[in-house]
Amino acid sequence: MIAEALDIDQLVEDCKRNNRRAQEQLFRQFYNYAMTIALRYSRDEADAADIMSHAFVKIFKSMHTFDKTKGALQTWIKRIVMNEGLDHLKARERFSKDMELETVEEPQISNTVLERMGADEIMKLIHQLPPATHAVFVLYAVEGYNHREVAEKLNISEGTSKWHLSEARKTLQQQLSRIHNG
Amino acid sequence: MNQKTTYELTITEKLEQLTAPDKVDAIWARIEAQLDIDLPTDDGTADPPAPPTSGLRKWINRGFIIAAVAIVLTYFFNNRKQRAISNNQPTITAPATPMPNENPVRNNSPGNRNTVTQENKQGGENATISNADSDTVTPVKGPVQLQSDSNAVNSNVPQVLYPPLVIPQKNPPPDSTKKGRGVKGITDSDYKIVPKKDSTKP
Repeated sequence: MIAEALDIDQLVEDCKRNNRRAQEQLFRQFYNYAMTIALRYSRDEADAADIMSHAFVKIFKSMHTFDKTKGALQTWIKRIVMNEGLDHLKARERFSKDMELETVEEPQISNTVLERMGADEIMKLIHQLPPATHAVFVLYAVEGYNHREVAEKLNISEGTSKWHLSEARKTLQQQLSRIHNG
Repeated sequence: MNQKTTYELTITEKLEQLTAPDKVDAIWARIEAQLDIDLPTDDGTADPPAPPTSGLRKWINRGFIIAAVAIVLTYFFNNRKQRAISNNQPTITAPATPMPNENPVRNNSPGNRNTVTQENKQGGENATISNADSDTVTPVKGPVQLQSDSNAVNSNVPQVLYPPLVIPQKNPPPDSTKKGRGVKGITDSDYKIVPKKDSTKP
């Protein structure tokens, strides 16, 4: 564990010196972790690959700003990949601020159906959501942010965030019911 | 953080099990191509970007450069000014008198006994160097500057101007093979020239 931390520190220092081999090593080391995050915010694998390449170019260009005393490298990478993913979602659709909701209905989603599904199938269901709804659902339901934090990240109101979450739940419920009945 | 429902926890767990597609090489190739443009390495086309210099260090460096330029310029202009002054003043050079022990060769030509240059013979009153008493002349090393005589210039008396005697300043290298020549009885002090003020006055 300590040796691994030392390796990461050395890699970071080498990346700060623009050492290409160190940059490749760091990329390969965090590829799986970062790619699973990118997939949450993308429509498909090609879109996720775009998010990854843009995010890692940003990571290496701003590596000199990384300070390990302020947080772990993994958290820093996650934040950059997530923000890049949200930028991709925003580019696909202008997030509407017209729809607002005061309260979100409790979901009627069958957990048994979800448990029987594979990760790829669940990911496909999420990819079918409209971009803004997709972003809110992932931030709220997967990442665990509350509505105020989601609203800040997406530059929308809390009511709009609630509306998108409600829409996401309805859509997923319909899809899962179709799978369960079919 | 929010309170996750059961189905949300299930989705999160499932998404964490998601295996990343094997596109690591393709994605790295794209990243590397972009980095080669934005952050070229030493083995590429250009140097990596230098770390930003701190503000204090930058100003200290600038201060040193400005000070160095100022010193060079001051030295240059002072040198030029001194040259200009020395060129404007009339100078008469006296031959450097060889030291007795250094150069045994003597020039005993009688005409050279009074090899004192004159700026203006007519204005002898103000001449700073006189040839009146050659016996009392003391040696002068290096060039001797004479002040110009304004009275002589304004005089109505027709003047006979003698061209200033140009004497080479460099002493020829001593020839140790030659024997000393000259008239006996003439000492080294005979060649010494002493500038006297108002030497023509009684």
